[in-house]
Amino acid sequence: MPGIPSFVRKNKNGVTFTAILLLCLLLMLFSNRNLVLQPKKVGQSFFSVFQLSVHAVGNWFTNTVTSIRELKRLRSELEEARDRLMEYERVSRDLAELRRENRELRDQLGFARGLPFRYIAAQVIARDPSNQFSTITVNRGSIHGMREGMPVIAFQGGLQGLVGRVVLVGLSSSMVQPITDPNSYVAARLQSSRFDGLVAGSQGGADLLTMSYVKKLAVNEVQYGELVITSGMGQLFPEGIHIGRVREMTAKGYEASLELEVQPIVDFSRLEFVYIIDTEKR
Amino acid sequence: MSRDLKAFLLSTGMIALAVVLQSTLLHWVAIRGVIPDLGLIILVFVAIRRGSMTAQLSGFATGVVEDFLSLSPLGFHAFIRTVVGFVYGLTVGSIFVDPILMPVLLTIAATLFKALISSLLVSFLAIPAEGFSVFTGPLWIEMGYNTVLAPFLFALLGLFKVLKPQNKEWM
Repeated sequence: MPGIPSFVRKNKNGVTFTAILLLCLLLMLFSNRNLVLQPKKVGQSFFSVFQLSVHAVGNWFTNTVTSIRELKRLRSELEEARDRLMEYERVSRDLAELRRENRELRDQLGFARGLPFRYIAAQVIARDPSNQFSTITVNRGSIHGMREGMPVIAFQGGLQGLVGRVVLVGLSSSMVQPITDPNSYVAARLQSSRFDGLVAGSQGGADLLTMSYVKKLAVNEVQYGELVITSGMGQLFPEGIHIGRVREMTAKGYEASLELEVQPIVDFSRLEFVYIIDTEKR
Repeated sequence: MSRDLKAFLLSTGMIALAVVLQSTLLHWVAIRGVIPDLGLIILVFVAIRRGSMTAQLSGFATGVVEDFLSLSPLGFHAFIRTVVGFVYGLTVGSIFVDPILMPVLLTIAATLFKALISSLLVSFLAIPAEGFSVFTGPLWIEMGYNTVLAPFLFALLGLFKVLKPQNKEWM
């Protein structure tokens, strides 16, 4: 067919454009979050090296510039810390007493003690380069023992809060899907009223969560500010991790369940260090 | 090395660097978690200066890099950047680019065009991401950010001789 080569030569631009678009569509059809192809893993491992480098350079500059200001601040904090230490010593004595009492009560009630999981500490090195997805990239990968599906938590404001779960593991870095992602679902429970529900990320880019499938009879028991924790159902996340606090409540007449707006415990814009829970090692 | 190849390599390198910056340092200056799309501004500049071929190839290559660093399915950003590069490249030689107004207008249109393509992809391929809801707050913040940065980036990119308007043979 002599016509095809001359057609390609004449329409080089359009042919290349069409070929690339077809390739993109094929890649998208064979790649999604649940079944990530091997090339994506290799690419993520490779390009995260650049993210690590830029992050390190940026950190160095920030640390240098802020170190002088830090010194002044640290002096005043030292004075405060001394005062606090005295206070904490007193609290510590009370705490030891409370712990003993708690242990005795647990033994009496026959409750199993909370399982202490092994944590992998990690630093957030990058986020999603676009505004449509909400990836968090951490500096721990398969060589550090990371596996897909591991829950990720962080400590903020004195509380342990759920961050998300590991969805892609590279050699020395991993991607975390935060609970604010619209495609993230967590089996949850209201801490005081004990009603179960399902927490999902909300649409529209806001760092808020929606808890749905809460029984309607909870409307009189749920309180604003009540803590929402993981229920442990589905076995993706261990039981009892704080997710957020109830902010709004919607009870539509035609629906059999309540919908709660939940403010996450973790402030994702300030997230620096996270802990990955290894649920297989206790 | 031909000038076209140099232009492709330079633009691809710059957009890839922009993508890495977007995922790291630019999050320090994010407004309500929204960051500017430097890669898009550079792509628009390359497209109107060097034409469809250079822009679509650069757009595809850097889109793949963006897909590697994102939770998006492989090919999502590559598709968007290829289309934007190709369409803007069709205007090569027909737009007079002044220092401020045209960079602003071209960037506004490119941001809206990108949002439209991404929303269509999300809807048609059932990709788990923000769909048409992207036409809410974050899009306008990103557009504002891009608009402010466009004149500066255009001025900076204009300094690269290799990105001067193309000869006709690679169009």
